[in-house]
Amino acid sequence: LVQSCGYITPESPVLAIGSNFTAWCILNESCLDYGNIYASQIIWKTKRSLVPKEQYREINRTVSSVTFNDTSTLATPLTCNILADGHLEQNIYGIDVRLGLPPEKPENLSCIVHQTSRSRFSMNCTWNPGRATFLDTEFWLRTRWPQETFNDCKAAVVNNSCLIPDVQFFVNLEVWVEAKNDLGMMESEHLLFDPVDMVKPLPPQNLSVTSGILPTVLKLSWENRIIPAEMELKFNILYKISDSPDWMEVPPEDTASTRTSFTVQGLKPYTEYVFLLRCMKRDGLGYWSDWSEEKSGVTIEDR
Amino acid sequence: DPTANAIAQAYSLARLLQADATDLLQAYLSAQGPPFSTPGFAVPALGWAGVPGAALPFPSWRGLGDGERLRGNQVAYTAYEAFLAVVADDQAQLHPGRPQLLARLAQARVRVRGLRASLDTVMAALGVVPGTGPPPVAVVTANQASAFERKCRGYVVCREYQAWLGRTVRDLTLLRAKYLA
Repeated sequence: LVQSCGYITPESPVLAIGSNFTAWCILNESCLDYGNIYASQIIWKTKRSLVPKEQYREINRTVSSVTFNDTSTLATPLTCNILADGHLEQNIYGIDVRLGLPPEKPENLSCIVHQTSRSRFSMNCTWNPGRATFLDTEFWLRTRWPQETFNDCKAAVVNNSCLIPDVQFFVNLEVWVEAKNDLGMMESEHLLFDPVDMVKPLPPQNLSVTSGILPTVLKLSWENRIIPAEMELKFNILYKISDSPDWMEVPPEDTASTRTSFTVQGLKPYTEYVFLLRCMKRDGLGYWSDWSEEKSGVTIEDR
Repeated sequence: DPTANAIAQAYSLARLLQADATDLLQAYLSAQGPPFSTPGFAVPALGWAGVPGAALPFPSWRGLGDGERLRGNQVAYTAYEAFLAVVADDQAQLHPGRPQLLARLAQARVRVRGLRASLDTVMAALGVVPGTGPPPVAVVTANQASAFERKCRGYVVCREYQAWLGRTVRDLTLLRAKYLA
């Protein structure tokens, strides 16, 4: 078994770019006697280039140190070598050095609760992960109630979002992000909100349009996919004459409460109209749903 | 006003859980087969040791103080969180092929914990000292009870859980009237 004649400490450091760094090469006493080698003969190399001698310091017979004031110039591996008999270079030891940056504080944390099906809601949170760190950096989305902490959500590779498959309404949830790598850990601001106030509901479905008794009205009917116990809704209705590019809007104050139908008035007789509908939480907290599918209907003739 | 917000939030949650509990009871009964799945099935007199009953004569209920009222809720839902877990274990053995029912039971448990957290917030806002919970749920371990007994247990738990939520909605309606007026 070939016994190594020395080693470097620290073994495999992770260093902040731009910081200063000192390493020590320690020779084994046994090698000194047998190999006739001393710390004064040590030469340091980064990759294959020689480190200027001014950066060395002979600590004693068996120990030499090297210092880098700015690690940006430190290529890996860093090796400790001996110039035996003045010309034969022999490697004693080498270390890998990883350079990077500590994580920055994750910023702009925001969450949106998507309705995925009837009474099922998932929450997607996104944030700004900050500068690249050049190191393996993990981002964890943490959530908790006052008395209960939930499973953490590990961000996908892109590092700036996480999906929580099931959220509960009407209990304030504390949410924050932790970024961690070998050089440190940083926490985002903590958000405290009721998930019910961050919902993007599914659009109303099964929209239907039926003509009325009068030639100037059409009645819209639809199904809401959120139950009243979850939230009261308000609606946005757009309509246009089918071959016209100009959409008109039903005054929002007319559709500001939970409903499953609405009669649009003031239309032209015997004309085809197209309708679109969307919904959101009645108090305006949260997000508008996507638009429903378009539905058309024709007003009756004016006799 | 934090007190009003806490009460309003707890009230909304109780109403949501009440809607869930109605669906849970129906889903539970239809999964058990006859006689449970027979339309209109109801055995009001059937009880189970340790399952908190919600029934209370109106004068007694109306005369409860805020603290007593809220502590009663806390004690009940502490028990229901445990009983819903027992029912879920029973159903996992009796009806492993009913993932939707098991998912509903799991969601009910998380939501009960949410309701307890919400009630804690209301109690803290009103300065009510939490009571001590019930003794550990007196549970007949799953393997001792027969399959039919376990189905009965689950029925009583789902039925009384729904009843309790009705009572909690009424409790919080009183508090809303008192503190949100």
